[in-house]
Amino acid sequence: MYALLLGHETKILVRAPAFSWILLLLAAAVAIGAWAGGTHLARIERGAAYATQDALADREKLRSDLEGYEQRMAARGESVQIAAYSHSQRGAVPQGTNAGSVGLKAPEIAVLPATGIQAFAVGQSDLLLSYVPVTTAGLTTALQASEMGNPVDLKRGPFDLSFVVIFLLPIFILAISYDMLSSEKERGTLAMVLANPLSLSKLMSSKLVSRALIILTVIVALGLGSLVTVGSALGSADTWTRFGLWLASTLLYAVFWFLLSVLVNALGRNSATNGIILAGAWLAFVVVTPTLVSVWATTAYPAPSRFDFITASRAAQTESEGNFMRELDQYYYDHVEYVPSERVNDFLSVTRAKNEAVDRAVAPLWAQFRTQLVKQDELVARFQFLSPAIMMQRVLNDVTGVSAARYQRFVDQVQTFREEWTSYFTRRFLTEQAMRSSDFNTFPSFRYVEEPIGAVMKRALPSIAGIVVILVVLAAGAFAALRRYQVAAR
Amino acid sequence: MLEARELRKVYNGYEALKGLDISVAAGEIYCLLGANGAGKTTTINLFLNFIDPTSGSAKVDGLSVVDHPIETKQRLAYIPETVMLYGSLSGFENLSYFSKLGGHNEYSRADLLGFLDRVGLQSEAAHKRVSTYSKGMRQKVGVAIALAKKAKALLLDEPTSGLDPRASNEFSELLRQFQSDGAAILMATHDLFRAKETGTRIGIMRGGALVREMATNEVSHADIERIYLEHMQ
Amino acid sequence: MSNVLGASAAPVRRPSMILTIARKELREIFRDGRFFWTAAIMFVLLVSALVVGAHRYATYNTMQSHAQEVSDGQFYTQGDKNPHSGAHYGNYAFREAGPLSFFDNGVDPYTGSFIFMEAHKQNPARAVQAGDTSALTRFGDLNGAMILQVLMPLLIIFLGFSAFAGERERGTLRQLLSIGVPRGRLLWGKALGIGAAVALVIAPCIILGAVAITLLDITPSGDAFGARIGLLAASYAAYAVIFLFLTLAVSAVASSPRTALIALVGFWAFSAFIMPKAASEIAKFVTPTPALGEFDARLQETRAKGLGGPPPRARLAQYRQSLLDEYGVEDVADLPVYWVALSMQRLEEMDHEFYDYYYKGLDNSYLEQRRLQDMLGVLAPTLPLTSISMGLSGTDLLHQRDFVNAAEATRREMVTKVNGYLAEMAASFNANLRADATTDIESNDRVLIADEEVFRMVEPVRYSPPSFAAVMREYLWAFLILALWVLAAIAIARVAVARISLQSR
Repeated sequence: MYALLLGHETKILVRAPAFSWILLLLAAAVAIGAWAGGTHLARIERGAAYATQDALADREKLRSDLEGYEQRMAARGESVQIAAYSHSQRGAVPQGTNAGSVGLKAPEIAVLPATGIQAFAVGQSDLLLSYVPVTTAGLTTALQASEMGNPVDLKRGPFDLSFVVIFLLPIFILAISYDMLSSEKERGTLAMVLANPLSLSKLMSSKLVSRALIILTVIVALGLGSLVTVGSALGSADTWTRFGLWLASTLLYAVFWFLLSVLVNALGRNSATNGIILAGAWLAFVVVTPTLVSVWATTAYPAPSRFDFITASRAAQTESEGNFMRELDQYYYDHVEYVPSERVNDFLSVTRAKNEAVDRAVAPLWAQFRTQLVKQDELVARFQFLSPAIMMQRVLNDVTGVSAARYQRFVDQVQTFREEWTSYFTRRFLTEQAMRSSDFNTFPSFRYVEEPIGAVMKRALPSIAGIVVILVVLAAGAFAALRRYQVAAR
Repeated sequence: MLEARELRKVYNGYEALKGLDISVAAGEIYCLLGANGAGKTTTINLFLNFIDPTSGSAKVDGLSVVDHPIETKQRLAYIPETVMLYGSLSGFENLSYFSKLGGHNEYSRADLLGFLDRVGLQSEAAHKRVSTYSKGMRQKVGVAIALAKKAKALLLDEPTSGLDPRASNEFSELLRQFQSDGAAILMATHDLFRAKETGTRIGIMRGGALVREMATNEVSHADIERIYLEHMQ
Repeated sequence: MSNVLGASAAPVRRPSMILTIARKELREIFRDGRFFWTAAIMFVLLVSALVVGAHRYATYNTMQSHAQEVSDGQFYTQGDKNPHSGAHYGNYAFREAGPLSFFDNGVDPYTGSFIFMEAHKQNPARAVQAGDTSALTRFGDLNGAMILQVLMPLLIIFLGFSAFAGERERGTLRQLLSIGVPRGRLLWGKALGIGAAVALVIAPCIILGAVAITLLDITPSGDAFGARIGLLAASYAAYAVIFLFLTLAVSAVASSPRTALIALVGFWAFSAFIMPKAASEIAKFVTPTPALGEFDARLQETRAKGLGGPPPRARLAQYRQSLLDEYGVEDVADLPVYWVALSMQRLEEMDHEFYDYYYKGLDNSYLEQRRLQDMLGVLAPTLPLTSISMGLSGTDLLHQRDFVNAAEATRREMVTKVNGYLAEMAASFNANLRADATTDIESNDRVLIADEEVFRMVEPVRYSPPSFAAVMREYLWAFLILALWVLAAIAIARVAVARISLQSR
C-alpha cells in the first residue's frame, strides 16, 4: 500500500512541469554556488601565495647575497662580519648577516590553509585575511588588515553553497510542498482517495516521503558533485568527515522545511493561505530572526571602538618614545640607513623595547575585542534555537572551516609562532652572532595545526541537536494537527 | 448495511444535522432529497468519516465509522457531484491507482479495461489524460472505480447533476447493476424524477432532519413532487 | 473639457468610480485579519530599524569626531622634532557617517573606517566594522532601507495577489465586468486601494524618520539635502509602484490566486535575494579584482620596477644628475638645497603615480562592477534601487572613494610641505654643520629639529561629500532603469487586465 502511494505521488510529481523546473533550478543554484565558492577560494589562495612568494623571494635574495659574501670572504680567508642594520641592500657586508635585520625583513607568511570543503562556504573569509606576515615587529598592524574586495559585494554576500542551502533550498522545498494536501482538497481528489481504506497520516507521510526522497537524493548527488569539482584533499578522512557533517546537517535542514510544510498543510487552510504562511515563515526564520539576533548581539556587546584603539596606541607610542627615545633616535627609527654603524645594535634594541611597550599598552584593548566577540558569539549560541537558519550557518561555517573559532585558533597559533620567531633572531642578534647562509634553512617555520575533527563536531553538536529537536516537535505537532483535519469543508 | 443512529453534527453552534436515523439495506437505493443546506452532504461526509459527528453514530456493515475508519472504507465507494481525478494521469491509470488503494491488487490490465468498458468509456479515451475528459466521462471513471472496489455500500452525492439526460440515464442503469449485485446505495439528489425511477426508497430532509420517508413503488411522480413541495414550505 | 469627458462612453465620472473601487479594496483589506498582523509586524520592525539606525549613527559620529579631535591634537602637539619624523608620525582620518546612514548604512560596515596618513605610504582604509562582529551579521543588517527593499514588496504581494485572481475564482469579476466597469478603472482603483493600505503602514514611519532627523539634529552634509531626501522617497515610491502593478498584472493572468502568489513570491525572492548576489558574482567574473596579497605584491613590484618606463632608481639618479648640472656641483652635499629631502619628495611623487595607478584602478574596477550590477537591474528592480538608496544616503562607494581621496590629498599635502620645508631649512642647517666641524654624532644638533608649530602648516583633513549632481550622474542608469520598470510594470498590468479571461481554470 505504502509503495503504491509513494509510486503514485512520484508519478504525479514527475508529470508536473514545474517540478522538473524546480529540480533544474536547484541544480543550477548548486552549480553556481560551488563555482562561486571555488572561485573565491582560488582568489584568496592566490593572494596568500603571492604574499608567500614575495616573502620567499626577499629571503632568497638575502640568502644568496650572504652566500656570495661568504664565498668571497672564504676566498680571501677573512671572517664574516655583521652588517649594520639598514633599509638598503647596499654596503660591503650584506644585511643577511644581521639577525635583527633578517627577522624584520624576511617575514614568515603564516597561512591558514583551506579545509577540503572550504569552497562550500565563504563565511568571513572574504573579510578576515587568510595569512599573516610574521616578523619580529608586533602583530598589531598585521592583524588590522582585512581581505580586499568590493564592499558592495561584501554587503550583498556571496552566492556560495551556504547561501544556496540556507536561503534557496527552503524556497525550492516549499514550492513543491506548500500545497501538497491543500491542493488535493481543493481539486476534490482528497475525498476520492480517503473514501478508500487508508488513513490521512499515511497519505500525508507518503506525500512527504516521496518529495523528501527526491530532494534529498538530489542534494546528496549535487553535494558529491560539488565535492568532486571544488573540494580538495579528497583522500583525507578529515575532508570526508567534514563533508559527511555538511551533508547530514543540510539534509536535516531540508527535512525541517518539509515538516514545516506538513504542519501548515495539516492546519487545513487553502493553498494560497499556506503559501502566505510559509513565505512568511521563510522570511521570519531566514531573514528577520537572524537579523534581529545579530542586531541584539552587536548592540548588547559592541566591539570596542577601533578609533579608541588607534588613539590609545598612539598615546602609548608617544609615552614609550618619551621613555626610550630621544628625538635623534626617532629620526633614526624612521631612517635606519643613517644610523652610524657603531650604534645600530643599541638602536635596534631600543626599537624593540619600544615596540613591545606599545604592544603591552594596547594588549588590554586588544583582549577586549576578543572578549566582546566571544560574548556576541555566546549570545548568538543561546538564541540560535530561534531559527534553524542561524543554527545552519553556524554548522556550515564550522564544518567548512570558515568559522570564527577556527580563525581564532589560527591567530593564537600565529601569536605563539611570533614569539618563537622573535626569540630565534633576538638571541643571535643580542649575542652578536653573524647569520650564515646555512642558517636560512633553520628558520622557524609556521605550520597551522588543524583542530581535531572531534572539536568541530563538538561545536556543531548543539546546533545539529537543536535542529533535530525542532524536527521532532514539528513532526509531532504536524501529525497531531492532522488528526483534527477536516477532509470536507462545511 | 448503512445505518445512522441519532446522528448529530454541530458546526460552531449551527446544527447541521439534528439526530438523523436512517438505514439502507443491501440491494436498496435510498434517495435523499432536500434543499441546499438540508444536511444531505453532511450525512454522506459523516458516513465517510470526513467529519466527526457531534453525537450519535454512523455504521457501515455494523461497524462504527469513527472506531473502524479503515475497515468501513473497505466496504464503501464514493461518487461525488464531480468525480475528481488526477488530471495528469489517464482514466486507466486513475482506475488502476484507486482500485489498488481500495485493496484490489489482483486486477490485470484487461480486468481494469473491462471495468471501463462496462461503464461505457471508449477504449481510446481510457488512455488519455483525465484533464481532457468531460464531466460525463469522469463520472464513468468514478463508477468504474466503485465497480472495481466491489463495494458493499455506495455513497453518491448528486452524481448526476449537470449530466445530460442520456448520460444521466446511463448512470441510472449502472446503479441498477450495483443494486442487483447486492450493494446498499445512499444517493443525495435534487432530481425527483430520477429518484422515483431508480430509487427504492426516498427520504426528504429539511433543516438537518429527516421529515418524510417513503417507498418509491407506493407513490407516483406527481405525489413525490407534491409531498416534496409541501415540506419545503 | 468637461464636454469631452461627458461625451465619453463612461456613464460615471472617472475619478469617483476609481475611488469607489479603491474604497472597496481598502475595506476588504482592513477586514482581513492578516492585514493587521502583517502591517503591525512591518511597522514594529521599521520603527525599531530606524531607532537602531539613529542610535548607531549618533554613537558612531560621537566616536568619530572625538577620535578625529584627539588624533589631530596628537599630530599638532607631537613635540619638537625633525619635520620628516613628524610626517612619519602622521595623522589619522576618521570617516564621518553620512547624514542618512541611519536609514541606509550601505557599504559603511564593509569599508575601512579610518586611514593612517604617513610619509612614503598610501595606506588602505582599515578597521572594517563587519570584521568585528559575529558571522551572523552576514545575514544582512536591520535598517530602514532593508525593510523597504525586502519586506515592503512582500506586503504588497500579500495584499494584492488575489486582487483579480480571487475575484475571478469567486465569480465577482464576471459580475463586475457585466455591469460595465471598464477594466482600466478596475486596475487603477485596485492599485489605489492597495497602495493606500501600504502607504498607511509606511507613512507613519516616514513621519517618525523625519522626527528622528529633527531630534538627532542631523546637520545636512553635502548640497541639496532636501532634494536627496525627496528623490530617495520618490525612488522607494517607484519601487512600490513597480511591485504593485506587477502584482496586479500577475493576479490578472494567473489561473488561480495560489498560482499568482507563488509566481510573485518567486519573483520577489529572485529580485531581493538571488539577483543581488548573482549580480555580484557576475560582476566579479567580468571584472575580477585581486585579493590583498596579489594586490600588494604587484604594487611592491611596481615600486621597484616602475610602470614600464625607466625604473624609479634610474629616474632618481637622473633627477640627481639634473640637479648637479643645474647647480654646477659635483656632490649632492654641495647643493644649496637638502638632497635627502628632495630625493624623498621625488620618490614620494613617483609613488603617487604607482599608488594612483593601483588604487584608482581598483576603485574604477569596483565602480565598473557596480555599474554592471545596475545594468543587471533590468532583471530585478531591487538592484538599481539599492544603488540609488546608498548613493543618496551617502553610504556608497562614491562617498567612500571621496573620503579616501580626501585623506590621500591631505597626506600628500603633508608630506610635500614637510619635505619642502626640510629641503629649504636643512640646506642652510647643513652648511652650518659643515662649518662647525666639531659637532659630534651623539649630539642632537646633527639633525634639524623644528618647533612643533611647523606642523600647523598642514591643514586637517577636510572631507566634503560628492555633490548632488555627481551622485545623479553616477546613478543615471540606475534611475533610468528604475523608471523603465515603473513604465513597464504599468504597461504590463494594463495589457494583462485588458486580456483578462473570465474563465477560472
